[in-house]
Amino acid sequence: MLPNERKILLSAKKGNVKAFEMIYEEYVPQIFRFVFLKTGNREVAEDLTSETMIKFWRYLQSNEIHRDSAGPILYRIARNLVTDLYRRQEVPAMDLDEAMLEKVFRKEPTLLEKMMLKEEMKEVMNGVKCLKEEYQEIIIMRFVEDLSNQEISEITGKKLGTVRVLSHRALKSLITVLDKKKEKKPVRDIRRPVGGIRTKWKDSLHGPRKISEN
Amino acid sequence: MSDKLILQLEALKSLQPEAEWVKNDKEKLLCLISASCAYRAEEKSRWKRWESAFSNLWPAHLAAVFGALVLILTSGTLTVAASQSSLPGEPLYPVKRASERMALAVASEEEKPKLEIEQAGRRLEEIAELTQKTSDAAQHEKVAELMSEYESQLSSANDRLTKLNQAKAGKDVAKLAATAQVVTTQSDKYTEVLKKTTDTMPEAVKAKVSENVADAKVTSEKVNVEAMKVVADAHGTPEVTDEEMQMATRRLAKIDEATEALKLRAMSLNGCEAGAKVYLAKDLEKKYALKPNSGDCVLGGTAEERYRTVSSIKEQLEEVRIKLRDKDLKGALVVISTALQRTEDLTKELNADEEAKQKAAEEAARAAEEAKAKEKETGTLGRE
Repeated sequence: MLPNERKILLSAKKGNVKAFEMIYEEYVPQIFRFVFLKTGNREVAEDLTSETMIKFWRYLQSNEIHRDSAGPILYRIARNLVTDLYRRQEVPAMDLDEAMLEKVFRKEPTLLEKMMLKEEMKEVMNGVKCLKEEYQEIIIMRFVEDLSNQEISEITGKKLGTVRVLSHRALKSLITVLDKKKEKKPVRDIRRPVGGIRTKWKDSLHGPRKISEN
Repeated sequence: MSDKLILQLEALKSLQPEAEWVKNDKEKLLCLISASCAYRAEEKSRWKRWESAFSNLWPAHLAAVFGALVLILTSGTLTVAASQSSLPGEPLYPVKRASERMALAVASEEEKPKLEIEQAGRRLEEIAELTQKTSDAAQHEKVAELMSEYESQLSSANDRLTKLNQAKAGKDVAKLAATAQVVTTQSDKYTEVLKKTTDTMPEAVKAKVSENVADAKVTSEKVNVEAMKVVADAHGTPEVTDEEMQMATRRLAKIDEATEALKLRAMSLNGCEAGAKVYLAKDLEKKYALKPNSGDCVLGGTAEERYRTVSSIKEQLEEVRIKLRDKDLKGALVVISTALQRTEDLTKELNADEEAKQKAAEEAARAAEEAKAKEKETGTLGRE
């Protein structure tokens, strides 16, 4: 989110191109990631991102702006576009090959990103794609983009409590999927590991690990 | 597990759109936006300027009406005059066409065919001028368009003449005959001009517009024959002038030429070359004595059908020749016009056939390419 984003939004509404450019630069990477993680196809992600921005401009021109941030509107537009895509049954092919990953990942990664292996990231991405729609979105918004529960509830139109519950479930579901893929073992209940060490038992009896809220 | 996963998910933030794409897309979008903004701003300011200029004299709308009137009265005739020498693609060309349509709308029914023929003549002039300009890249498109315009104007003149000839009651017969006379002489001239123009066209353009030219040729003949019929009807059967006989003979020669071209096209449907001896598949079945040599051409299927149609049109032309010898101009004209109609239909059929053939060839090429790609793929898989 930009500092003073509401002012920038209002100025863009009046036709200030510079203001719109600021919003574009801030949000395009996020929207691209969102669409890319949902569709797994770079070209489709580029097209839909571009379309999202055009639609957002039209929205700005024809609607009153009551929000402080462009994020929720943008995500909502992108979400609808992806849904439309699937409704038209034009499911894009996944293109997660090496050359593509080279293109998509940041040129100068942060320390954290350096620590992660590309191979693992790919697995995670594939795992996210396997989740159901609702969980996918929550995972991307909550854990990749670090949006607050409040923001997610605005975008998805779900209640705050529901979002909180969903984010736990989504993460759990992702872990299950990844486990299944990695070890090729039958799915097990995370809270009741069979034959683990005692400490693990204890840990898991307290329910799933809390996820920090910030 | 979940801690590590959360870190991994966070690291997915390094997914980024390509910088190059972002730059291009942003430019495109901003350009789109600023254009729409600029447009709106301009609209407002233009209106304001008008308002301020006239507000202290008259109400704004009165000023606009007055201004428009002045513009029309002073510049209308000048613009139309200037537009008469314009070519397609030039700014004044639409004015030229509009003025033509206007003239056509106010003319009397009997004179309309004459006007249309004159306008078709202008299309021919435009084609000639356009083909002399070699620099134009989209030249052939414009020529093709003009050619079909020419054709449609001729055929509309043709329809008008037919209608007028059928319902002569209450029409000025002398005027109609005069019109038809002009139409015959003009369209006779046009066939020559059209031939010369197509001969001087650059090869590339010629190849592109050949279909339109063939259509236009047939329509020219049709309108000519129709007009001749009108003339013959008007002044009664007994006296047939030499000029009319000559004209009819020329028509005959032209149609003969056209059918010859159609024959070649029918042959090329089966891949036969011009000048080869032609055998028809059904004849071969019936008559065992016929034995084609290796260089000869055997026509079957649609090609055979088309070839047979050409032959029967040629028989009709023979009939016309006999009628002309007996100085039966009216009878000859009737047969000529049916022959022409059949020629036109055959041209259309051949166009469709050739198109279908081309499409089939393209499809076959694509299938072969796909098969090749598949073979390659399986080859590489095998190596792996």
